[in-house]
Amino acid sequence: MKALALAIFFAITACDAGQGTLHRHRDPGALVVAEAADVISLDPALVTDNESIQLGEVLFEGLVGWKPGTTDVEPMLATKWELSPDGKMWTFHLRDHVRFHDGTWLDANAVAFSFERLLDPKHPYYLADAGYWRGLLQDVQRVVVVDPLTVEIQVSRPYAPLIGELAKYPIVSPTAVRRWGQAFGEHPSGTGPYQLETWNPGERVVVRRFDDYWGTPGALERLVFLVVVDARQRLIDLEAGSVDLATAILPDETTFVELHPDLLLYNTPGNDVCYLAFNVQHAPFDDVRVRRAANYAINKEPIIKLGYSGKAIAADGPLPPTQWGYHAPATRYPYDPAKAKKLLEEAAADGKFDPDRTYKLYAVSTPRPYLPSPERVARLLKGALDEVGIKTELVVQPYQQHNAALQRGDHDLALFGWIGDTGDPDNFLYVLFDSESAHGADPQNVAFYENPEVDRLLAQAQATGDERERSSLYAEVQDQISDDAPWVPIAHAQLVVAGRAELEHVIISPTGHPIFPLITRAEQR
Amino acid sequence: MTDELGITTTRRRYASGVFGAVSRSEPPEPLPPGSGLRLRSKLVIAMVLAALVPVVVVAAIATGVILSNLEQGLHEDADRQLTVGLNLILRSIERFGDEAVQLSESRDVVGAIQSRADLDGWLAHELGHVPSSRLQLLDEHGAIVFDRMVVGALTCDPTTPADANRPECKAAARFQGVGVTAKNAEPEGPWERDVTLVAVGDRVVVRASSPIVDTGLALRGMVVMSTPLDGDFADSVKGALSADVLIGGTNGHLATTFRSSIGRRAPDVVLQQRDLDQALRGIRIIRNIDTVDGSFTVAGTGLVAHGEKPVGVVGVAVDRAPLAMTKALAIRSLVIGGLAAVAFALALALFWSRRLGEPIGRLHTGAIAVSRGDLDHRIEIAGGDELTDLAAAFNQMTVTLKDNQARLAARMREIVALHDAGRAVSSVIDLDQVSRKIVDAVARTFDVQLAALWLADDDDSELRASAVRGRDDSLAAADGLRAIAERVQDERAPVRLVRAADDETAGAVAALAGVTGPIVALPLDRKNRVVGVLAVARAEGAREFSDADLNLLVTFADQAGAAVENAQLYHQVLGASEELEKKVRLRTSELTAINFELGRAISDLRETQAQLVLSERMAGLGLLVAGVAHEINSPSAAIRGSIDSLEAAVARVAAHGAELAQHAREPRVIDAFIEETAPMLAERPLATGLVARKAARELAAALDAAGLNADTIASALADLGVTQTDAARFVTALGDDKQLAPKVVAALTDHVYLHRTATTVRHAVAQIQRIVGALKSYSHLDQQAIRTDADLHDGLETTLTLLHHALRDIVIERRYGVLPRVPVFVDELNQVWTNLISNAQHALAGKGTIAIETVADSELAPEAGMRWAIVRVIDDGPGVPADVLPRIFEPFFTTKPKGEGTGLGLGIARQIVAKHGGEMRCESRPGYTCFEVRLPIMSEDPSA
Repeated sequence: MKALALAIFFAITACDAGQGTLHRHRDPGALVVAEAADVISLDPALVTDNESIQLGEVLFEGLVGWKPGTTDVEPMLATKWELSPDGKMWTFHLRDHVRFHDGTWLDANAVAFSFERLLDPKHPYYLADAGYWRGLLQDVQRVVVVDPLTVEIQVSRPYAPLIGELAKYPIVSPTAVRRWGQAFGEHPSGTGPYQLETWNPGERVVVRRFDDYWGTPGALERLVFLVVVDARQRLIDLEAGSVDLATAILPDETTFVELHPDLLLYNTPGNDVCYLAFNVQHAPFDDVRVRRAANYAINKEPIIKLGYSGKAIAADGPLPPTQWGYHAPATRYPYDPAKAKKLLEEAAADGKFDPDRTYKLYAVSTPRPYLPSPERVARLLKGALDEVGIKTELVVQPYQQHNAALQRGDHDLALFGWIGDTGDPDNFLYVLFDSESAHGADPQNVAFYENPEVDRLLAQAQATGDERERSSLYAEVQDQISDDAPWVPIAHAQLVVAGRAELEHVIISPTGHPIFPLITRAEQR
Repeated sequence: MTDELGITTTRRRYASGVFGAVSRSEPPEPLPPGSGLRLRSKLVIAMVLAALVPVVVVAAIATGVILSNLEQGLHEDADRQLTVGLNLILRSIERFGDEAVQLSESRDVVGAIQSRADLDGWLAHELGHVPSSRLQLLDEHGAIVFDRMVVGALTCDPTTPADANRPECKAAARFQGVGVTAKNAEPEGPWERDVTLVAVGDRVVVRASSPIVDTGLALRGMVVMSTPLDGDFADSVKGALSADVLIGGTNGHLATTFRSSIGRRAPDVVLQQRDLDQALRGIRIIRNIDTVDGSFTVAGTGLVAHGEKPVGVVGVAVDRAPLAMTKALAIRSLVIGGLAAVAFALALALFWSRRLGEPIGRLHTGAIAVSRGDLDHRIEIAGGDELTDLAAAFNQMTVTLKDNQARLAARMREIVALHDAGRAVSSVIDLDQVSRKIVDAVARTFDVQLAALWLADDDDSELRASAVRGRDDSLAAADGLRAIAERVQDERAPVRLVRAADDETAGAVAALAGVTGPIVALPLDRKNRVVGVLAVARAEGAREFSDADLNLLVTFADQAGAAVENAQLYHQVLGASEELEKKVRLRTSELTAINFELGRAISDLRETQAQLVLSERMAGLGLLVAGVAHEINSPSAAIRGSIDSLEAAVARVAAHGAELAQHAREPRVIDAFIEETAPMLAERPLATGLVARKAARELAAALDAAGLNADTIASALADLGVTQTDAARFVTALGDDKQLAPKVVAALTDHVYLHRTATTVRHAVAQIQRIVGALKSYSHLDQQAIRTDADLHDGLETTLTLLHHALRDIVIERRYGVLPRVPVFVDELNQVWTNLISNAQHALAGKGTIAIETVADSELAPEAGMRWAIVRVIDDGPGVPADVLPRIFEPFFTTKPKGEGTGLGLGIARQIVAKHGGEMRCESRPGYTCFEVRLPIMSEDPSA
């Protein structure tokens, strides 16, 4: 009896011999992502910010999609499509048996509805604020329902970038839009692999796997997007294991992540550009000599090393070399402070440049994927410009104010960037340099650069279906822009996402977002 | 008597107690003392366990759970501490990098590095925020321009021996060998801000580099700072942790922050290889480790450089001393608690066992008294509890026991008497004796006035009185009860009357007969048949028959019924066995006659079989004789032909001899030539046709040269097969008698003919002798019918010779192996060979191949030393059809047309082989039929 008691005693105390890894008390079916900012809206037609787009990508789908990790177009809601010989009529054949999150079936009417709410001002649910997408899709004249599973898109002129843009334009449930109206952005209903569960503004967005999804369902049951504004805190959460992925890691922190045995850093060439734009409407930057002088004044390699910790490549134009259509421009501006000073002297002699004036250099305080340490880069730029005699004053603001100020044209110089959304060169060159992009409600051409020749070439490229022909047109555009120097192109940043080492199948799309439905979690190590 | 009853000794002891009157004289046996634990002890143990077990179990579970939780907590704590420690270390590394950046951005650094002057001055200015490290400055080409080891506020120049020997610089020794050399400074590579971990030997070194640029962003040089991750580094982290820090390279030797009592650093902790491998793979390990300084829970993980290459291991150690103390305290409390519980339980148990033990003792004494037969013992226990009730029940029990004992004794006597009676009844077999014994036994046992037994031969037959025991024992005395007996026979149920007169019919008859008292009548039932009825009656006023009496009587009636039936059966069996004996005698005589007939038939059969065998042999011989006749015919015809021409030839030879003797000058020489040449030519084959003509031409030429008239003699000589040499000798022998040449040639021709004829006759005679010899050998006429060691090949060859005629067109293949001599009956075996070979010949229908194969089988026969000689006769004929194959050895089975075979051949052959102790088998398919005969090489009977 005593032996039995002892046996029980030892059996219980033997538990302490188990020296395994401790469990982290968290739902293993949920992927927790720490984001730098909250989403603005969950209606992707309305937003251009990274966090909102990222969520839009798991909630909504376009007629076509991208192959994971590339910008190659593949079938999505449309299984196949044809372009008429005159290039003005796209016919899309829709996938059958696809449901929206609210249970509505996908059909040609839903597709037409999704376009009409953007393009038809008389539409009851007209999206007045969707300037960006309206600009991209302005050539779409009519969307015609042929039969329940066939839809035709008529464009006013041949417009090749359309197919890349359709990969990101969301098809929405008409029932849900009618039900929620303006609040659709808080109650999104798309066909994506995840559907919204909760959104506590400023805190978190939770999406859960959509059970009626037509394709391969998401690997994990829930995605939780936490708003953790402080970059340091994002990393601490990641380190503690309460977060699986953290975006917008500071360059200073990459060392920490790289050396940490439990964490992994995902780098991928970004489809982005960081640039210093001159406001060409403002003197003295209306003079090409001053703009060129600034280009000669800036040594980009040290900026890459010091401002990006080497996780970027120096830019010689707006397109990243990984984007098709990239062309090394004929006119280049190697680091040559002497030449810069000479050009400035010439301009000053003509009364075009006042060396004693101080110009406003606007910079964003929020780290962006293309500009992870904006203030450091801004200071380096300021130093280099001062060195040749362009005196500047830094105006540093959070992203939204910065964006608004730039669109108003408050700046003389602006440190800004762009992430390609559609995988098409048009999405850089038209959006950032066409004179039409310098006007309107949501101007992205913040240099306010206008060149009829560039406009003509861009329109011609849009009207051409042949990629080689378009490439040569875009090469001309890039040469022209480099010659006119409305920018100092700074860098194409690598996209940096930090994650726990136990995650698997983490693929970063060229827009910098992890492809969430593919991510799985390895067995506890 | 009791032994006969088969009651065991224990029972007997009980019985002797019960039959107190019988065994009172025996001394009461002492009750053996209980061999197990006393009740009191059991009570104590039970109460102690009842108190102790739950206490110990609950305490053990609680303690175990708490300790396990503590242990778990400790592990979690270690895990947390590791997370924090890792963070601190990496942050510290990051800060190290920041310091490098700060230095590279410090004022005057560009100027200082360009002028190379007063770099020490610059360092002295910046020393406030330079961490202890190896600090190196490189110019824009990657050459080292400045190299110092910084320890706090002290700098040492590693390149100056004077500095290296300064006692203050001893502390800087840890920075020896951690810096970069001009070669590995990657001057051509991209210079970046970078902080990384590198493995230098067994050490892990943190290296931070930061480029120095001027305001125009032109590259001017590089700051490189290096520091090893060693114990001193760990010390800097430890302060922020509530745990010790372990840190080390990939060899698993971890520097610690443990200090001994005199403040010296404790020796390295060495990880086990398995743990080290896990940690280096980035898997967190949590282990309990004992060192001289105490027991620790260690959590560790690998350190990776860029590119996931493991460079070292970092860990934290949480002191287990508090846990160990808690554990010891818990176990001590458990033991003390347990002991207290035991003591308390013991006291309680002793008290209660005393209170309970005394009355139980009295019950015990009472029980012993009762067991000794003292049924008057009474127990008084006050208190009104269960024990008082128990005592009352005990007293009640002894009263009842005493009463029952008396009744039981009487019943026992009856049972014994009845059992005895049953045995007595069963011990006789004669029906009358059985009947008498039955009534005797009943009368004696049940103390009756009258006992009567009736028997019935079968169910419906009338009862006849068989035995009576009463006043006069006459069968007539039973008549009074007959009516009752008949009713019992009809109803097959016992009848019990308290008084005879109670029954209006049968009872009245009985009463008339003077049987007025209680009556019981019952059937003797056997297998649903009433074999008899037993009736007993007591005198009027005597004790009536009780239920127990009736039960006893029924039991007895069963036994009596069995005895009666046995006796009846015995009578029947006695009669039947006599009948049987008579029948057996009759059958035996019939069988003897049949047996005699059978014997005759068998001997007839044997005779017939011998005749059949003989006829088969004769048939074989007939087959042989036809061949032999043919064989002998040819040589004798040859002899006859030779003899006919021989006379003329001899005459011619004589004539030639005379002529030559007369005309030749040297007849002797010529004779000698002829005598010598003729036998020689006779041996040569005859030359014919073209060969002869060619030879003739050549000879003619030679003879012409010798001056002979060649025309006539050349072709004759050529026909005789004469060569040029012979011709030369011929010319020599002729000498001058050239005219005699044709004569000599004629004489030579006749001589040659004579010699050839003689050879022909000799051959023919030899042929005849061979056949006769074979016949003799075949039938073995010169041998006795005993086994002889024979070469089986001889027998096979003899048979082949005799069958030669029949086998003309058949190819015989002899595949003879080496066989020892085998003991056999040669002639009988030859019959087998004849049978097999002629069967094969028949099967081939004249054309084909017969192979005869012999082989000595080396395989050991079941009896050691037995080996087989195997003879196979194989033909490539159409084969034996599958449906026929199983029947071929049956006698009279044949596939040959009627008249060609008896069908006995193979059967007899098999018998002969079997007689030799051998076996015969057949395998057949189209194109291959093989008869195999196996004969033992040693005789199966060594005496034969």
